[in-house]
Amino acid sequence: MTTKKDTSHSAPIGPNSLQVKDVGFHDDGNNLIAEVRLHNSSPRTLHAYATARNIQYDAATKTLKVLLSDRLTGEGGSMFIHPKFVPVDPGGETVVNLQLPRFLTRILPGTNLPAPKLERLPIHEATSIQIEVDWSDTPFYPDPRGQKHVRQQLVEWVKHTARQQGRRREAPPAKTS
Amino acid sequence: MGLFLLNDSDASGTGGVFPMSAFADLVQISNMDGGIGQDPPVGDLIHITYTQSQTGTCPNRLNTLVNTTFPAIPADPVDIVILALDNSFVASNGTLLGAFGGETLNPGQTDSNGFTNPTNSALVLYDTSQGGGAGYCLKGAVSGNYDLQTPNPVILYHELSHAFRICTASSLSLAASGCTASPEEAAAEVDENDMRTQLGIPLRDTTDHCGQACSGGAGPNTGSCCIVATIATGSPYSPEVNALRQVRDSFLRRSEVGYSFFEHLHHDYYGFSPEVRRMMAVTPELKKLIETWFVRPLTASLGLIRAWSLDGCDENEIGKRFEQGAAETNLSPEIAALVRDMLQGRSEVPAFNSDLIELAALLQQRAQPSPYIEWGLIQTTCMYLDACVWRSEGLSPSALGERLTAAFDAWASAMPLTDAWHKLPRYSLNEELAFLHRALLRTQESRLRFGQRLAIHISADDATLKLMAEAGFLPLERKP
Repeated sequence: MTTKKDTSHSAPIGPNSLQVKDVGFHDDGNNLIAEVRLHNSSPRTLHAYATARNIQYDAATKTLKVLLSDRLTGEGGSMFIHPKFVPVDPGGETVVNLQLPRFLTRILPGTNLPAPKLERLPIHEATSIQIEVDWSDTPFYPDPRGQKHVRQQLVEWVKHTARQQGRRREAPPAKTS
Repeated sequence: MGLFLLNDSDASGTGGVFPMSAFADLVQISNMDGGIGQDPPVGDLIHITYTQSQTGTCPNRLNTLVNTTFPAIPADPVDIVILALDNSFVASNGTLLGAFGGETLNPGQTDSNGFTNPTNSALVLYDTSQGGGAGYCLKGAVSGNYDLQTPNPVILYHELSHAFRICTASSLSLAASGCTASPEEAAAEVDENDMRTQLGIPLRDTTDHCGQACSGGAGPNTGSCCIVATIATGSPYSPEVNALRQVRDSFLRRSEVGYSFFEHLHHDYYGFSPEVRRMMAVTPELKKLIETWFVRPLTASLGLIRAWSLDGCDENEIGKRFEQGAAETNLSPEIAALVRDMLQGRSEVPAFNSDLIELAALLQQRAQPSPYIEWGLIQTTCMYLDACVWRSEGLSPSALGERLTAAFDAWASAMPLTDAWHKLPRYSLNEELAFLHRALLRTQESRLRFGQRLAIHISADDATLKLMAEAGFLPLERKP
């Protein structure tokens, strides 16, 4: 066999190869719709999370933080629902549309309660959004050797994280026939 | 004591908790038994009552949960509280319940996701919105694919299985790896299948813990494989793609060095394959051509390599199998030679097809420079194409088999060596060599050729050389 140069690790991929060019959101009355515009400046197709896995809300600053990442996800749960991914062509752009709830519901801390107390966070009141998108330069395939939990495999698959901030936008006008 | 639904009177009307959905799911679990009912809410809790008249595994389990005082739970009067939620539910750290579909917590437990149980009861959380409408698809026991819908009563019954073991102090280990279900999850999945049986829907693979959204775009690649082959053959589950998936998951990625090799191959493959995908989208005729000229010869070649290296077929059998496959593939020797030369960059592609010229240029720039692509895909395909040319020369199946197996052996011994070989302790090195002996390097000659290369690659010391010689990868009497 002819010996050839190993190109596996020479592709010019850096932390900024995939960027969130733009992010914004609007409230359509049923959901918050976030639009995340990804741009790939590298010569390779890159692969990014396309599923929101974590949503945080700071009511004081009315800032919504959405993670397309499993780095804060745990390994419990009755199923592990894989995130979706989206390929971004070399030099190209892809828009990821996220449908988010208008409220967040969570259990308030406490002990020895007869029933859990819930709180609802009105994230539809948010005025700004921070987005974090994990990505890599290959698609994700679970390791069939199964030595690590699939969540850990996902975390290790990630090469870089693209971050951006954006603002609330007016809802697009309803289409009329 | 018993089973309760959270009514959440504080938040009622805002849409975060759905006790009526949970009750409807319990009715289905009871197999539409008229004996199930609910008391008026007391505080935030609705007590479930059940006078069983339907028989069956699921009604029996429900009867146990509703009408038993569980000593494992110290609190009185509540045993199990069900929270029927939607996709707005998050853990304290913001993690969405939609990543899991459901979760059952021990009294007072906060789990690794940040889901917390502030009560002395077992707490069942489940998403009745089906991930915001996308649906939860799990691995089917029969299909083997992540295409199995999971109705809400099934999710709830699964969670109640966990709750049952919490209440009876019989929870199993949660240790899990990959997508393999932990003992606790496997037990819940076995129970879950009772509910699926009751509903008359297909059963889940009870060894698998993973799932995916049923709709809404690209999946997790848990079952997908090889985008060029998938698009060219028109299905992620075509025989060709299944064959490639089998090589990837059942053979290549099972060993340390195989895994490392695959990582390199995977990286380099995705350096050019999306562009091939784009070309096929723009020129649909190219799709058929890639399927016939590249994908089928590749998968046929891998099948023959497996038959030779792993299954122990002899030269005659390999020749016969090639002959059968070649008759179906029906590649003319001219086309076989053209494709082979194109893959190897040996000659100009005839200018009759501009798409082919573009494809050839792409392969030359991005595929051929990678030793992993060349060995794993190009040489593999070319061995088959060579045999198509030999066939036209009138060689008998046994002569074809002899030539092909010689080519397989030479190819196998030239497997690219990655850095993973440097990191192996001697015990693991021995294991890897044994695996290669068993799975790829069938003849002594191929093992010795490979061993010579490996010894140089890892700068083997005396002890390692001895180990390699004992494993049959170096001559016993001399070092490389």
